[in-house]
Amino acid sequence: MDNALLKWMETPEAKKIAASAQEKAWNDLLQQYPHADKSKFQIYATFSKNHTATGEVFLKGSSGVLSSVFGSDKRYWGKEMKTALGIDDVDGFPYQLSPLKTKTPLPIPAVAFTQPAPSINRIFANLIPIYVTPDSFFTVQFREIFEQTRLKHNSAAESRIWSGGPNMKYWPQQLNFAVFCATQGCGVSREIFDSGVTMSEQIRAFYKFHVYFTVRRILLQMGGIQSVSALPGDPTFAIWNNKYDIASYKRICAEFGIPPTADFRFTGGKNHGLGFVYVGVTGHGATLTHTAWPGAITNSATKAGVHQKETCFIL
Amino acid sequence: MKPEDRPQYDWFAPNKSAGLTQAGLARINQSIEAFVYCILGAQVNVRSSIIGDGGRAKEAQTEFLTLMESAITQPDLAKSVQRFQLVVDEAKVRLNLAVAPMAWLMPESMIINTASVVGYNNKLKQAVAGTKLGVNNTLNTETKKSALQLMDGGPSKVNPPNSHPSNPIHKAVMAAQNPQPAKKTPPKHVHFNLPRMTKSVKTKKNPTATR
Repeated sequence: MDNALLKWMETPEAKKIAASAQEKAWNDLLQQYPHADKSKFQIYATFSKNHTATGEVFLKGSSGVLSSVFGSDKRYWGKEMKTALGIDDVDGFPYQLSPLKTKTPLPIPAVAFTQPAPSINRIFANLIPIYVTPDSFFTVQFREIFEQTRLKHNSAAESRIWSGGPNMKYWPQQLNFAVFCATQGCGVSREIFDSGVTMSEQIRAFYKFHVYFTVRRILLQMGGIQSVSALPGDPTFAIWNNKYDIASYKRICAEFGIPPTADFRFTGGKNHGLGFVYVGVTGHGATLTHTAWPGAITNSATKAGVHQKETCFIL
Repeated sequence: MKPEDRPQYDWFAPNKSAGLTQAGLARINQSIEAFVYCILGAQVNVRSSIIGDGGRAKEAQTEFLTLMESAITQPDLAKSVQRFQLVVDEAKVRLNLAVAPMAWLMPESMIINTASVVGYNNKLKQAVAGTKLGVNNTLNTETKKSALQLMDGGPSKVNPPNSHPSNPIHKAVMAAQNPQPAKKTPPKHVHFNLPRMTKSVKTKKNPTATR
């Protein structure tokens, strides 16, 4: 390390950069391990030649040895590390199944749209094992509900309503909301109902049942006392305007600590979730275009949409 | 506009979690009630094990789905708890499986007891090996006692009968469960002076007998 860098590291600017890097390192750790005990860790900032700093979190071991959290393999973590990170068993249950102590609002969506998300339908579209004893089970096929989630906007006016903001009248948003409540709202992650946490297949199968059952219950409860909600296949089902009871929706939101104005649209992918733009001329079919759709609702965007509607049809 | 072909709800289920929320624990409790009720209730309703490839098992599995749909559409939470407790009592299963802290215990083994117990004998109601097609006059010829009796090993498989003190079965059950230690005090001697009966008195009291 050259002397100039060493001298610069003593300046208040360098100390500020170091403090910021340390804070970021700790926040990154907290995102993965919210129960971590800060008093058991030490955070160091390392400078590079271009005057940037990276923070690293170390566990202060009882023997005086510092061990890096992200620089070590979690499969070989000892009890001391697990306890400090708050991932040790709690009263005989894995920490994922222990009561959550913090009351911080849960992020919506649960997985960032830029990140890959494993398929849920892979679990529920197939036969579900129902364990009757620890080693004997039968399989059943639940009613299919994870379907009809693709909204085709046939005009600019339709896409404008969708882009305008969250609206629970759309079936895909209702389903997203119900899945969110049954998993993230309950604290049940894929680690529990799919794979990750070490547990018996009997208990894992129960959690699969829980997710499906709760999704169905929430969809039913969204229909209010008159059960106006409908599922795919029901005569009254409408993907564009699936009826629901606003008061019941707000009650469920309050139960799970979700603001009623929360956005349950899928806004990842092409054109903020609207998908690909197709342009067609009558008699010649639709053609896929790679033109970006004006996602933001502004006057010019509205005009553009109307203009396209007038000149061609959009699938 | 046509969206991409990927299920959007996948992004609303987390990959990792830090624990169960309070609302989640309540919902898990409801799921346990429904799960146990559907499995045990299906077997109690068709009086057959739900495991296997036979017709009766298939019938129980179909009943499971029916009960599940009814549990989903059940508006009353209190009823769900009642049904859970009733079915656990009826199926005589042991609650010994914990799936979440401070939630209902579940039975590890949810195969109902179809063996003959006091008050019920499955063999009296089902065709077993040796039963031929058509009328079987050799079946169910014996008259069964309708009253409950104590079993060897205690009354665990017998529903507690009416607990009114006048019920003799209740007395017997309670006596078996809480045997009273022998009293050390000697029994009280009670002396009755009964009137002496003479021949003349007898004939006087029942004059028609001599006729």
